[in-house]
Amino acid sequence: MNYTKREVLIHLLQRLKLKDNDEVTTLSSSPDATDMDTIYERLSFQSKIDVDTPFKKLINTHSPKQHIWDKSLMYKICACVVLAISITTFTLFVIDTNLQNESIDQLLTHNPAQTKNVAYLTSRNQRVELNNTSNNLLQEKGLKLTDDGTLAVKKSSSPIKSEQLTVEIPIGGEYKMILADGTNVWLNSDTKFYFPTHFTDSIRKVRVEGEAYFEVTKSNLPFIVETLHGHIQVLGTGFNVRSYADEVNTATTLSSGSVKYITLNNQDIKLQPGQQLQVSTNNYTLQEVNVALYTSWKDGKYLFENSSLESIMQQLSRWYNIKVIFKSEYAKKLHFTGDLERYSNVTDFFEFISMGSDVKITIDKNTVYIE
Amino acid sequence: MNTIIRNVMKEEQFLAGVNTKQLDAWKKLYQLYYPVLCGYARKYITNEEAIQDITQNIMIRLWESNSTFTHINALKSYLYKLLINDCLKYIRNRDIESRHINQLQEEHEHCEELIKNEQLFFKLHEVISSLPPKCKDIIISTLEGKSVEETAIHLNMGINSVKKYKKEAYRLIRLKVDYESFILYLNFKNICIF
Repeated sequence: MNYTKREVLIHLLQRLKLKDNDEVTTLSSSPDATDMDTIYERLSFQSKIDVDTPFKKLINTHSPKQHIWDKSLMYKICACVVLAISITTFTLFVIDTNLQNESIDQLLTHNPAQTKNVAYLTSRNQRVELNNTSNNLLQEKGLKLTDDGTLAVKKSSSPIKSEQLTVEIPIGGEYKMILADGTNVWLNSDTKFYFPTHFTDSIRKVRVEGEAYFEVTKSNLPFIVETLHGHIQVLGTGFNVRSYADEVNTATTLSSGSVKYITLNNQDIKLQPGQQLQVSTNNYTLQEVNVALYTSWKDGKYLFENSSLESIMQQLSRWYNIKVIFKSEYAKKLHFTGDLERYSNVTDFFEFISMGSDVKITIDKNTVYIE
Repeated sequence: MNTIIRNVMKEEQFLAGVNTKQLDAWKKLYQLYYPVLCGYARKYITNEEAIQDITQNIMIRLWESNSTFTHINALKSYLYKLLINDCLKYIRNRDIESRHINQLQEEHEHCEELIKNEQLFFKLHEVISSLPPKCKDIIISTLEGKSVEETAIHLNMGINSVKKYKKEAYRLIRLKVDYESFILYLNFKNICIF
């Protein structure tokens, strides 16, 4: 068991040689005794040096100069700039993509432009697709479809019995409707909207499961929007509600006027224009946001500012009816800024993402793989 | 698997931390680089106090500078260049052994070569300094050429416990170095090492 110091080093060198073939061979191939001694001597000298004292001295008596442009930040900024420029430019130019062409065709058939105005109306016992103006059910309920595909509740003087209806927007769809009191509602993909044909009582009450933007007509009757995490009391205003069952929070973004949010445990929170409230089951956060980021969807645009690829793709999967699978955690965390025309080809967007960063995107039918 | 990735990631994180002057990265910089730089400086200067002053001075300069590095070798060559420069300045000021200066200066020109050779000392130092205190003391005194008996007396320990710790130290060194070669040679395959 008596190792000599030479053996110690040869032991170490042989092991290290495995790693850095060439660098060590010069020293380990024919170690002569004096070389060895020098090396040992230096190693034991090095091992005995006290590093804590000089380190403490450094951090206590000298202040560092921060360099904010570290490489990863530069990389992110470059990615964002490239992405933002190219998305806007590419709406003007058509470029042959090298992405798998077959898959693009398949994706194109799911272009939301074709599914834009698809919605289903459900009353107590009937479910119809909203595409036919002469539909009897609509007539019966006092509804009509306008030429531009908006569903409007007719104002009627004769008080017919109010009935609870549901409009369902599938994944990839979008719909606009006007309620009996003249309130405009934009419904986003994958959304269920519950409303009455008439507001009879002393309140106007609707329910959203999904995302909707409201422009509420001013009236003395309070307008109430029920969500998964409480309800919103409105006086007359424009605001966005996002309350998807597969997301933790309900986000309410106020663009004008004022609203009051009442949580499930009866806390009420008042929002100022420009603020966003995020409510989950047991807590909430209120913050100032760029409202355009949360409401631009109603104008057919998707804006994102320093959003993670994961949340961007979650949004896109809802709009374009695609499934997104992340093969790497790293890609999820990349951040992008830019805007996207909702009804343009989504594959262009993927190309910019892969141009602006080092992620690889492959498309197979309706599934997008990101690695 | 996870530990391997964490260790590979460390180098990038370490460099980013050094660039942005993070304390934990700088602590590691001190633990790993400071002694090795001191060790190298002994090629030029024998006065240990002067060596430590020069090395500390270099660290301070880096700490207070805007320099950022994209690769670990760039950081190393920066530090060695400064170190050699300062050592030569020191020698010149002292006016001693000026006949060696030219030869030493030559080394300065081939910094890449130098860093390759220095790699050995970084590795060995890293391995040795990662040992538990008693194992480390025993390895150091072995390196100094002391026998088991001498070590036992020097460290005020029994001969058998010196042997025991020595054995343990070798085991740990082997483990540590094997582990490193694993990283390179098994190409992150799903192999659990520990």
